[in-house]
Amino acid sequence: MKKYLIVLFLLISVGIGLAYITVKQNMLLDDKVYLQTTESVRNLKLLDNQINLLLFGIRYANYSDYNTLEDRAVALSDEFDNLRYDALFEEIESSEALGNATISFEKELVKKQDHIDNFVKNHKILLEVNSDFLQASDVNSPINQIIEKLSLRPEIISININFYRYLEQSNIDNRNLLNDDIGLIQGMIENYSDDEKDVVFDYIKTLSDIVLATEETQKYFLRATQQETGEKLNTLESAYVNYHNVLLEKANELRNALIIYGLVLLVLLTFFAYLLRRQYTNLEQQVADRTEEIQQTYNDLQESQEQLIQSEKMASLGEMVAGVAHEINTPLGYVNSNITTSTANLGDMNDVLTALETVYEAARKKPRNNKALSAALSKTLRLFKIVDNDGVVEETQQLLEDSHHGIGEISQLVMSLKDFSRLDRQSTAEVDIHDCIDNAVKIASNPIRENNVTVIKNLADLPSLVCTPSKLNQLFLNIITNAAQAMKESGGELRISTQQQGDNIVVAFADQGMGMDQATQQKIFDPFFTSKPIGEGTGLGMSIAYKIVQAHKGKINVSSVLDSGTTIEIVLPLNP
Amino acid sequence: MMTTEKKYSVLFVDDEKRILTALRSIFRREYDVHIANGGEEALAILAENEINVIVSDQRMPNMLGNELLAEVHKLYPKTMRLLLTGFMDKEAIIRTINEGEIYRFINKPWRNDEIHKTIAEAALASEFDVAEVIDHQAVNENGNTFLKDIAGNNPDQGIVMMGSSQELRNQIRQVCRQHDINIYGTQSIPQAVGVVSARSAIGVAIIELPVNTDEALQTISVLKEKRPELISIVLTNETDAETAVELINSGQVFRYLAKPLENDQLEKAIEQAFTRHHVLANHSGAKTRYKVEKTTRSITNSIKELFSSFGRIGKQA
Repeated sequence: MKKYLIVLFLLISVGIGLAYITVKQNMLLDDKVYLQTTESVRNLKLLDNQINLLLFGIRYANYSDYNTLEDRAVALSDEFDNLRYDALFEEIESSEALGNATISFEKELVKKQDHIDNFVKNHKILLEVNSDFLQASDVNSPINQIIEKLSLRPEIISININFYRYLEQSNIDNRNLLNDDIGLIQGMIENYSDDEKDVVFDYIKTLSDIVLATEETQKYFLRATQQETGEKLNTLESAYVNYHNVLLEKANELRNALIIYGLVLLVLLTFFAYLLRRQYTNLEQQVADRTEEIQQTYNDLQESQEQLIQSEKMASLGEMVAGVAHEINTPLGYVNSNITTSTANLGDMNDVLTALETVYEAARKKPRNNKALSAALSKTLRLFKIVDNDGVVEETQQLLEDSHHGIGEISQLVMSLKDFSRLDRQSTAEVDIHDCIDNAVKIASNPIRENNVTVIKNLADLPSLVCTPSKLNQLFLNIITNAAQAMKESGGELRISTQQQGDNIVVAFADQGMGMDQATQQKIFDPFFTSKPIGEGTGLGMSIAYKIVQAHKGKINVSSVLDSGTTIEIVLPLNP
Repeated sequence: MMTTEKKYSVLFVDDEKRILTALRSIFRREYDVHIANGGEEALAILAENEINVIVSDQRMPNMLGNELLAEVHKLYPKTMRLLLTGFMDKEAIIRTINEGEIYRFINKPWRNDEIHKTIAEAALASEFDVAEVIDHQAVNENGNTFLKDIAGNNPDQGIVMMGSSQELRNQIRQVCRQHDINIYGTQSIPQAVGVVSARSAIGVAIIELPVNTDEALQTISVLKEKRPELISIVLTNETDAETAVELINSGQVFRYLAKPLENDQLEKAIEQAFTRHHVLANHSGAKTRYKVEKTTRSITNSIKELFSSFGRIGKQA
């Protein structure tokens, strides 16, 4: 049994552990996070591409929408913050790879933002110098008037050609070509007026400004567009995907573990069920066996209880018989003795009578012999005097009176014995309850005398009661015997009182014995409970008393004070 | 009819006056009869008169018969004590033997001729002066020296022991060794009788009552009849009123004790038994005082045979 408990306990612990881990893992594997993250990454890529497209547009299509560019850049930053601080915050904390990917993307992003800012700044400059260049291209512009005036068109055209070439293809060769042309023009205009020089120089400066701005713009354009934000985003995405996959894998493992656990549980439960089933079968058998045993024991107990009740009856019968025997013994003793003594006394008197007869014979004899007569007379007188002195006649009378009394006692005892058991009458009868009490007192005279008990009766006028007299006799005998024994030789009074209370007759027995404590009082009617020494009581007396009262639909109450006495009150209904 | 001088006085004690009347009627011719209604009255009469025999009922209010007789034993040891009983009072009977050193039990209802005979014997026995016995017992109770005297004066003095319980035999042996008393342990009646008939120096018999009580009772009775100076102490598992009465009436048993015994209890009984034996052995008249009734049981042949070793027993029985 203990083994099973341990196994069960282990299974439950494993189950709880697995469930806890799974729940925790599933919290990490939140679908929202995944969706949010992938969407965020997608948005980032989109924005990055848009920014690149805008950069291209600005750079090559003269699509100078800086505001949109800035909007996108801000949106990108926002989105990245979303990703970093909202969607993936915990994941970044817990995964190093993810953290590194985020950081490196952030670095790229910061650089790219810088480049874009520089690009925009230079592009604005470029646009400005370009407008200068456009003004210079006007037919009436100072430079064109000077070109016409000074006939510099071929040189200017060459410069312009090289300028455009260089703008198209910004390499060293083209630059050198442009520089050569510029040097050539500078040489050609040395002799011109300062105003004219200024116009040419302005033009050349405009061109070189354009070249410079273009170069700067191009540089930042290239840097901005070549910044590896896209790749870093890809890295971040794949890092997250990796991270997510690892989580997924763990979750899968857990799911598998749970499945295995479930299977193990199922197998074990099946096993337990099998065991239970088997034990149940055993149990049924055992219960059947036990029931039979209990039934047997119950039967035995019932039998032995009957035997005990019988032996209690026999014991009280024995005690009763012994008491009655003692009661009879005393009168029998003196009656018996008195008869023998009286016989002897009669012999003495007979002697006188015989002597008297000799006197009579002597007196009748004719002729009268006076001497013989006087001898006979004096002998008779002498004999009579002996008898008279000894008081033989009075004594015999006394002895016979005593004997009569003794025989009366014996027959009274026999009568009460007969009344007590009521063997000659029907079991239920209408009787005077006082007769029952008198009988019981008579039968209990042995313990009453032995314990020096004085019985004081205080009886009311009562109607007759329909009852089982022999049972009531037994009831009263048991109570009186107990009361007498409670007064253990030191003696005391047993007050028996009766009265009518409405439809009930109340009989009370109050002794002055040793009394009982509360615990004893509670058990007094329990079968086999006895306060007497082992072997002196079966402990059934009061339990039988209780049953008898119950059979008469009455009540029996006990009140007792330790060391001062017990009162037993019996309430019997007149019309049960 | 003879009107001899009333030589002996008898005191009857009973709370039932008709019993007293009856008893007085039986004995008034030959005895000086006193009657008392209870223990106190009896003691008052004893204080005023010299009483040879006291017969008391057991069950009386205020003072029980055994209590009265124990008191009388103490105050008037010379008075022969008899108890009137109805076989009802086991405890009282045993106590009367051991504390009242009773002469006889009289069963109720009695037969006039039997009680007459018993009282006559008791009256006769009362003539022996017990002063000497009491002196010895007094020494014993005070100084515990008497046993040593016995052993010193009578080196042959011994105990015969009959019983089957090993534990008890060892206990008795131990006590005897302390007091230099010879002990003859036997395990059966024939052995015990053999020892007693072969050695005159044996003064005390300690008998453990076997299951077959009858045979043991007969043995004790015949032993006492033939060797009145032999004192018996009977040990038993459970005391029994009827056995006790018979032990007294037919065996004049000295002590009737229930096992197990304390050592000092046993020692005291042995000492007192030897004291009694010593008196009996030296005063032939004393034997009357502890005479026994002829057992009413029919003595079995085997017992008769056993006692033929005493020589004259066979013929008498």
